[in-house]
Amino acid sequence: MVRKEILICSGTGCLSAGSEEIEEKLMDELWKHELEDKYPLTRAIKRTGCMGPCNLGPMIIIRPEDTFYGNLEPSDVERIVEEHLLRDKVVYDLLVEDKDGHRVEEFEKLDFIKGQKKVVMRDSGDIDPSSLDDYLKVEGYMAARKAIMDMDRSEIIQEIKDSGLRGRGGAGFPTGLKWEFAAKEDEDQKYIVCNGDEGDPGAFMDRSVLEGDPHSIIEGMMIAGYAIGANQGYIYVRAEYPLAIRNLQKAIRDAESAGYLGENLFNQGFDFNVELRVGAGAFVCGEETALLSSIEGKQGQPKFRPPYPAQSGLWGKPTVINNVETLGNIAAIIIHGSEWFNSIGTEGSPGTKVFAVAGDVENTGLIEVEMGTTVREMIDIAGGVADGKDFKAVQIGGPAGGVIPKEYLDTPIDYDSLSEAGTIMGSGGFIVLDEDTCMVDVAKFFLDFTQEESCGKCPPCRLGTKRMLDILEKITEGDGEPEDIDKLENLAETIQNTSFCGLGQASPNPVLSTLRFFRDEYEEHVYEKTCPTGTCKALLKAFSIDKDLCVTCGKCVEVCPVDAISSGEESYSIDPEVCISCGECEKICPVKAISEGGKE
Amino acid sequence: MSDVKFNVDGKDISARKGMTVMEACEENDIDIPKLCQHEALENLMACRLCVVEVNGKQITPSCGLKVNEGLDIKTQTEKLRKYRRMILELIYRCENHYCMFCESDGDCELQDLMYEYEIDRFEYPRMFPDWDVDSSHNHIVKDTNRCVRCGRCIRACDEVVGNQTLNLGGRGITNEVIVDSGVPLGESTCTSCGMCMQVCPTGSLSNKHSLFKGNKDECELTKSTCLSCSIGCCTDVYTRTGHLVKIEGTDIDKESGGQLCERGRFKPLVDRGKRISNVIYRENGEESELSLQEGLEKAASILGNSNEISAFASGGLTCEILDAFSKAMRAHGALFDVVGAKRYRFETEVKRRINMIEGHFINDITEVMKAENILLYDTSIYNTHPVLASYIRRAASKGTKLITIDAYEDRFWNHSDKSITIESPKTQLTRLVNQVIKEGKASIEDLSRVSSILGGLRVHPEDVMEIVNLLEEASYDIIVIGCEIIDRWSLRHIFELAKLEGSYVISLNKASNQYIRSLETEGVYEEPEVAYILAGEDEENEDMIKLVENAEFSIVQSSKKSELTDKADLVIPSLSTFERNGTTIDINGKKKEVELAMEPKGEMRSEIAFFEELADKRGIRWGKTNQR
Repeated sequence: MVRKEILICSGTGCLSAGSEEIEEKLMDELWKHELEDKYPLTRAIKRTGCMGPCNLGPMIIIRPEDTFYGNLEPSDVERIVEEHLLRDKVVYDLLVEDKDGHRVEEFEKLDFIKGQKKVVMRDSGDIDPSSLDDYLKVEGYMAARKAIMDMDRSEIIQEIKDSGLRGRGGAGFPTGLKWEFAAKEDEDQKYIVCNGDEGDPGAFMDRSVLEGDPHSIIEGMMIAGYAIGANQGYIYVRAEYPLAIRNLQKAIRDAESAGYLGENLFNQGFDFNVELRVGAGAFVCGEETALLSSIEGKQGQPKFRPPYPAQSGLWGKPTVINNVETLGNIAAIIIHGSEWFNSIGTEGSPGTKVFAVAGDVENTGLIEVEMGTTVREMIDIAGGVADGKDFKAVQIGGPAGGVIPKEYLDTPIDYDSLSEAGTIMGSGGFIVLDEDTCMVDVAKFFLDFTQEESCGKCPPCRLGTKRMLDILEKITEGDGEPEDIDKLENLAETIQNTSFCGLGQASPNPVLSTLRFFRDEYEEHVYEKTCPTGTCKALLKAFSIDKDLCVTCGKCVEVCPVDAISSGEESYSIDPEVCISCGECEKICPVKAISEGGKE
Repeated sequence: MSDVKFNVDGKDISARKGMTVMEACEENDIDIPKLCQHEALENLMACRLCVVEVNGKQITPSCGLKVNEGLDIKTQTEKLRKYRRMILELIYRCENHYCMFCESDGDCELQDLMYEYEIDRFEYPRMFPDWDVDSSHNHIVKDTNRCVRCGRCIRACDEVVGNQTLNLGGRGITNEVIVDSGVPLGESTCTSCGMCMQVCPTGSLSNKHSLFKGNKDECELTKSTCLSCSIGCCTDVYTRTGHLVKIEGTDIDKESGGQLCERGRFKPLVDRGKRISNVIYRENGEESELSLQEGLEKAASILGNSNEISAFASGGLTCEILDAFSKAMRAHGALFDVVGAKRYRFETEVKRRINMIEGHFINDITEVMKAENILLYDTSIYNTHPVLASYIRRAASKGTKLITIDAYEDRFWNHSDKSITIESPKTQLTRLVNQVIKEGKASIEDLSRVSSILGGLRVHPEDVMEIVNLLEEASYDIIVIGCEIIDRWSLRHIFELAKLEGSYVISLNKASNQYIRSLETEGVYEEPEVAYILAGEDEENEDMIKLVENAEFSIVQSSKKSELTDKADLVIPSLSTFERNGTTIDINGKKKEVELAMEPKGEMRSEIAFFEELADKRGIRWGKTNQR
């Protein structure tokens, strides 16, 4: 019998879903069945990084057959051990169903995985992130070896330039060019910085890569450092990512003691060290100049560019700052070559992009797709809109991005197409919104975020976003005035044009983009004082019962949470002063006698 | 510097390479609004009011944009005006600005801009944020309600004063200027120099003692020199109806950045000592008032009948007064001394004995900011020469190694790289340092032996080695010697060290007017028949009090009632600092003007005339009297 291996997803998402409990139970079961000889505990169970389909957690994969079990309960473990491990029989009813209702055995055949193309997430969910050996087994540090031993600095930069890799942090600046600028600077001391200050609400791609494959980031930095002539790297992670920090610390220590970091790497006279810097989780520190200030121990506030960090960055020295995901691509490009990378994705945006898919979809989680995949295909991978509802829009790019409505569903996901559609690639937020979502409320959510996260340096961002938020609140409270929409646009224009940094300049985007596609919804809020989706509670009107239809069944009285409904002989009635417009009575009424603001 | 030509609002102008567009526009009288930019500070580019249109598309702050050949700049387009109005309204309406109740009404850069941009109606309602007023400080009121978050105070405290007391805290709408890590200003590391207040564009930081005494337009301005210490900062003295309103620093373009210290800026406003306007004569416990002329006669007759006279003057007087006083006293055969002169005499003597050349003495104190190491003996300069202390802090923040050696508390503790506390005589430490340098590197064991031979002086061999190593490595060391070091041996060892290492020396003394370097002074009788004290407005001087107590008869000339005047037998009024005209010599040997800011009060009109007449009583004449 082939020795089996059980991979258990131990990303932050699965940990909070209870993967540790499953793991414990697994160990108990293995012990109980005296399987510890066949399955030495330390080798049989492998904790991996994020596998991707987060809403199926806790999840395990049993190898070599690659059987996937998701949404596990501790009680399921016994059966898996007894049937699958002992008798080699797949536990069918614990398998995950595909969209047609068939049980899927193999992980790779899951709907969620089929449409993906994994480059950055290649090892996450596959290897144990705390084990250097595991990383070495998947060709770890081979790219660094190749780059440092067989390639010139200029060759490496040319390779990255040829690959067309663009910064995955949001702006999409060509990575090779950035490296070239820094490489050209004539300075003894240069730095390479990994930007792991992932701040967009709902985004967790960088966290997953750092948690699931920390060595690949160190390797990417090492190659970058070699190419530009830097021998010191910093990884800036937010303190809210304790697991990423722990795994990175372990990875750095292991790489140091194995000689992959330190002096004279690969006997080529190249020294490289990496240090971890933990940020306090300020959104603005994702901005590169603010991030550098923070590493220097100063307040995280953006600085004026030029000079760009590539000329004068950390402590005034040339510095390359790359996003986690960007660095995650480097080793693969060096190993497989720029042509291979070019063959993935589109002409202007080669490669893949990882998205954190959230919102009203069947399956949430991390999805890595080829550039050029359409928004529609993305939603299909995620299993479509949840609960069979209609699609309304998808918000891409986080607080600096915008929404894409139904008419743009076939927009391919690449830097240029997205910006044409009025949003940005951003760092990879992808929030699907169904028909019940109020777009004013969506704009308000993001403005509330940017307003709170403004570093306070410049008045347009610090105060302007607060003003915009106030107006949005006014509109959703039902106090909107006709000139409010103009005011929003005026404020947005000033903020866009006069804010200090990219965060401020992009902060009105969620409002402008929703105004562009859903202006009528704003107008309904302002002029008609109604919220078409019923999201804005203040705009809901009291419900009433049509006397002619009411059959006095009394069901509405039972469900009303505030006792607003009183019984009468012929008909029931709702006290509008007490009614909170929750709509429960409307849902339960068998004869549709109850409606919002309907006739008494 | 090569010239760059470019176009602003259709006008061709040229500027030197490296200038910002804002600087170039300022030189050409093109007005660009601003709130955060300040010439003494680095540009923050935060307020966004100085935005200009570049080449018809890009909108950039002009304080951050360097001039470039062929740039096409527009400073006053409709669009820019719209943005600026929007930003101004955001700033004004989001905080609690109420001009008519503000101390800075009429002196406010935000108010000026509101007028300039004709913002007389508002689109957005007030926000009424809830900020506390911090009035915990002795001199400064910090009121966030009027703050525009320009960051000038923060930069001033950091870049100019080197103290880093102020910071920005909080994000978004809760963002505010905080003190240290959020303590009241009065309980903070603030040095009370008031620089933050001076650069504040609004009424957010204001002077408690000047509140509502009049804005700058209503005041008379006198440009003068501060006589609080020998740095001699240039001051703007604002007076109104004969009263002092406020004092500000003026050397904004120089290294000092226009800073003053607590004594220079606030003390004259706080000091409400009782003014002496009449001559007071005390005999047998009875006090009588005399006219000035009677007082002069009295003084002349007492001086005339005495053989042992000690004359002692404050170091905070003008050259002319010191000169006249010394001549008048010498006419009466008195021994003459000035505060701080003793230290200078010792210094001269030591220099002569060890053949130390003048080249070791720096005649520009801003040089400390260029030094690789600063060796500071006696940290009391924190109080005696605060502006020099700020230079040392700035240097230390920028990487200069600072070693402080003090008998008591180290007042540079949070800036010092090595803080050595050693009781007097400090000389032993320096002596060991010298010895090691002279004899080549010693081991710590050797030193331990030597220092134990020296007799348990608590010299740590590690300290000695650290100083030696630092000095040997660096090529530009500056040794700063505070005023408290007055023993000849300490001075000698320190000077010898400077000579050995080729270090430069800044040697300080207590005289504010370094005219003492050219005046002939000598030690005075400790128990004279008559003591004549000419007091200034500096701190109470123990030597003076001792002299008054020991003398058979004492004459004190002062502008204010003090312990000295209470003990004196004859009290003669003098002018206050702001009522004098004259010159002073600063620490760098530069002559500076002291201007009359207020008309003299009382009978005394000129001390010089008074001393001329006093000398005349002995038949000695000079100056005007001679010319006559």
